Amino acid sequence: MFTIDGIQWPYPCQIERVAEVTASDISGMLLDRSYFNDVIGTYLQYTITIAVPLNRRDDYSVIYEALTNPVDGHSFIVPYNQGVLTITGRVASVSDVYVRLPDGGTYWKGTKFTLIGNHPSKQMSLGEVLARGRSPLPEVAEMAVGDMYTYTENGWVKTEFVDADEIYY
Amino acid sequence: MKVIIDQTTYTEIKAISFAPQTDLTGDSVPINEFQVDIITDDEISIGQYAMLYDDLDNLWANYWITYAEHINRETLRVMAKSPVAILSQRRLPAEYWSSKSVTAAISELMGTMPYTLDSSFANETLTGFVPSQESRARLQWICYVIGAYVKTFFNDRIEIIPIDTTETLIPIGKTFWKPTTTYNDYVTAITATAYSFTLGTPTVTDTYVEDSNGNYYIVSAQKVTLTNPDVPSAAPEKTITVDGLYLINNDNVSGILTHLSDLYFKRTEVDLDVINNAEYQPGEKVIVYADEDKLMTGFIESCSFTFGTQARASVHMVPTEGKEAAPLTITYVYQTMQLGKEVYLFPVGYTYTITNPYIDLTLSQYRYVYRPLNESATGTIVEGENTDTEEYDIALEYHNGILRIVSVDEVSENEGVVTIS
Repeated sequence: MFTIDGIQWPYPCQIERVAEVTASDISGMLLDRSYFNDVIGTYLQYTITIAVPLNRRDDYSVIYEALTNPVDGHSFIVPYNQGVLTITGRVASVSDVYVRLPDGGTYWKGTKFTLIGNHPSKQMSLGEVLARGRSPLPEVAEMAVGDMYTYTENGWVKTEFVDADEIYY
Repeated sequence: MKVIIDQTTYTEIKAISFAPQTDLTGDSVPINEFQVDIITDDEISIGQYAMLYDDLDNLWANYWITYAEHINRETLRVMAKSPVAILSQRRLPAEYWSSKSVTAAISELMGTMPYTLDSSFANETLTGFVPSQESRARLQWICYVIGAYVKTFFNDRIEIIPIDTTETLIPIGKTFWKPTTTYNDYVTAITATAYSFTLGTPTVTDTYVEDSNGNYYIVSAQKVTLTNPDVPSAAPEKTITVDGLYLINNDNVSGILTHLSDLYFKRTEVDLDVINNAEYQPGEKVIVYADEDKLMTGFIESCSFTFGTQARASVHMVPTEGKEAAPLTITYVYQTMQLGKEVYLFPVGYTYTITNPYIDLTLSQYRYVYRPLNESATGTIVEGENTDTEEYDIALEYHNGILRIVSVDEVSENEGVVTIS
């Protein structure tokens, strides 16, 4: 399920998601042999293949015409992790297949389009980039000398007791 | 980056071209400019200021718009030039100056234009003759004899600044692969002509100048030559001649020649790309890594910027010379165990401050995070080998799923949140 320009289309679809961490042209190899990666942001690209039922040919045409309008971008609502994401993106390509049956019937099927986000889904400001540094200690906030922690599915959990066999509880 | 024109801020910028430069030995002060392509359908008139800012609100340029046209339906191209261009439109009369203060001379040629003259020139005076010339050319004459340069970038006005003597190191970690060094012919000597002027009626054989009030001054000239002591005997003769600059006199010619020798007797130029968010600007004296194991020092003549989230500059440096360098080895140790080491190359005399890293090592199925006892390694580089040992302690120990906090510097609590460092 996805939404284009405010219209939700409930038809079965397959969605392929690609995230591109895009760096600017000023990136390059440094004289100390490290790589300077000037990341502009993370841009999402979705390739969506729609299966519109044969009895909903009008909807098929509406979707196709919307996707192929020569506009700067569309508003899309697409799945993202466990929820949805609203992005403004441009349609890079639209393709489908024309089928002619032995009995003379014809129809279009398999509309597939690729949208690319016009804005980064994630980015850092210049201030954040310049302030970016090594974190003082990994994951040790709220700990004190002598504390012991066990890593569980809930993260690091403080262990309260150690028995004579050095088993932690 | 963003551009502000007439209190309107434009942030949708498709392209920026900005390559400010200085010219310490040229005939005239360079006119710097920038060009931006802005996504807007606004109409903008020329003859007003456009301010170029970065995303941290640092001013990069405040220039006078000379061109503003839509190059397509929604893209406005704006070209703006530094106020030095306005100086080209003002012509000044010929005058004889006798101990004229630099402050007064600069004030006359600037008129109402905003500028800053470095306070070190407050007591400087000028003696000699200035012909009828553009303000821009006169500004360069004055800078030439007092050892100054004109800065028209990263500020909102024209600044007249002494030639930089403080060397700033551009780190190797900000220098792109790979700088190039160009070797020019040796300059074997510099000849400057020193002038004196006598008010009077010239005879047929006299050389004279006339000021704007119709007064005649008879010119006496004396050539003074400074020879380059470092030229190999086989090098062809190449003499730089400074002639016709009537503010050079017998009192200042020696100092000017010494200053010029700094610029002309060094025969190398270095071109390099660096990460440069305006930290390194034209006119500044810098030390750069011309190669992984070679340092050079010289003046930045120009920076051509390209922009991402940060800025990269193609830097042209003239003139340059080798800079003595020495290696520094920092060894990180915990008790008697060496955790690692880093080797650097720095200029002799350089005071380094290098943040000590946290070190994460796994030894015999125990994973340790070591913390430095000092935040940074600091010291001053001397000739020869330099060594520095930084002590570490175990901060965290991880084994069999158990993380143990071994040592911390400080435990603090604020509103129920405990923090260690």
